[in-house]
Amino acid sequence: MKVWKYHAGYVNISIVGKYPEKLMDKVIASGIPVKNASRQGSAINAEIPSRCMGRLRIIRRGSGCRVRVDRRLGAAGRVQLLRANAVFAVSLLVFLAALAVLSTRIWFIEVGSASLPEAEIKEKLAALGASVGSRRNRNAIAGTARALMLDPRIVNAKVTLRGVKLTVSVSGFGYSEPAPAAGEAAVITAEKDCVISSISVTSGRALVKPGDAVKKGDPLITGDLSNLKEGMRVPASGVVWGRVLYRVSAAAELQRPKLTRSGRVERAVTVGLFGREFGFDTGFEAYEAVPVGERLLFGPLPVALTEYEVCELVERMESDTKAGACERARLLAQAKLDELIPKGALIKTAATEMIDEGGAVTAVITVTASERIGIPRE
Amino acid sequence: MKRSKTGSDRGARRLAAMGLPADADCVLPKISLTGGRYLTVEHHTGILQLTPCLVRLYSRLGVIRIEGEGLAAPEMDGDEMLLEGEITLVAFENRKPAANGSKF
Repeated sequence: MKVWKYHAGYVNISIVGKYPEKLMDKVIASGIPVKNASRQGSAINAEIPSRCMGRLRIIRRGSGCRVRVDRRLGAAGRVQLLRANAVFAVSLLVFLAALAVLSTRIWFIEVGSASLPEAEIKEKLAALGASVGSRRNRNAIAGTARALMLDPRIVNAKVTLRGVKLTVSVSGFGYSEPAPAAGEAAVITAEKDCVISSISVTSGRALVKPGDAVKKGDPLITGDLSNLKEGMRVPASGVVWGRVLYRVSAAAELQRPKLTRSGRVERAVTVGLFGREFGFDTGFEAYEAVPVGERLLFGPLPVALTEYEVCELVERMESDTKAGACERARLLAQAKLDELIPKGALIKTAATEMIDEGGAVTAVITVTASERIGIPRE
Repeated sequence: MKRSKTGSDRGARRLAAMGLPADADCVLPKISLTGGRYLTVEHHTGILQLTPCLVRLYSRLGVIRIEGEGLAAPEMDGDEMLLEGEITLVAFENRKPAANGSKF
């Protein structure tokens, strides 16, 4: 609030004369916000916003009171004081003049070139009179583009001047990029056996086309451009999608183990405190606990006693239906498949086949998935 | 029993009949004292006197008299006023009690 008050600017005033309260009353009634009003002798001191001074003068007329401005405070008051200050006025003029002079020159040069080195283009620009600090001249800039295109390696050059920034974009040929550095891919190879469905090269040369069958490790994109120019190498990059075939199988027996109650039963009591239970102890390897009673002990702590009937569970073989065995086999095969297929893969086709082998059922799932198969290699 | 004829009494009875609080009509003065140091007066109708030891304000129920030491008004806006200082007394001056014993 204080910051806002400072920015808006406010005035310390003193109201003197006959019945200053009456004038104060009129001021408040007119909607002027009054702050820190207090009586000092026969005068009432208060703070009002600078913008309300005009309205205050109108209200004061005929009231028999005088309004004296003691201090102008806040940003607005400071600016008013500075306006009367010669040093401030001169500084402002100097600043504006400097701004006008500096805006007649080029201060930033941006070069966009995929075929020629940036330093070479900047040298050419400097020779043509367009360097950092040189004068902005639109006609000369248009000539710069034409002069750049005189170089046989440059096919097209575009020079634009926006404000104090000169943007140059150059496209051409005949310039060999540096060979791929350490860590950059020289070739992209296939990650799995697949059939290529699409290939998009951003740097280098494609060695396969959609529909080609490739084996794991086969090169797909190479950075070797010797076919264009002897010894020319660039980093290999691009995206390759291929169709990969997955085939998994899992068997399930018609007999399956199942936990059943053996008939041995024990009773156990647990003590519960804040949702945690203590004291549950049974000698059974596997058990099933059924709560049979609960008692809440009222006191400073929420303690609850719970009585359980603990039944021992033992594993027994049980014959399952054929449908149940098929379902178990299918779930096992599905779990294997989930581990094989990568996350970004798109499933194109899927088929499940059930094979009855007497005492067991085997589920075979065949899936065709489309996925990215390129691996960059140095 | 003789009934009061004042407008504030009638207004208060009407509000009570509707089950609304007495300050819902924004006419009656509302005085809130915070710890003997800050006093907020809402719905006053003007300033009669403002001195460091005495502040008098007009209201629909008569003149509100506030006594204390070092009284000042840090905020004044429309019909609201915040007073700051050592407040010792808050009272109505020359206020006639309602004939029917109503609080208003």
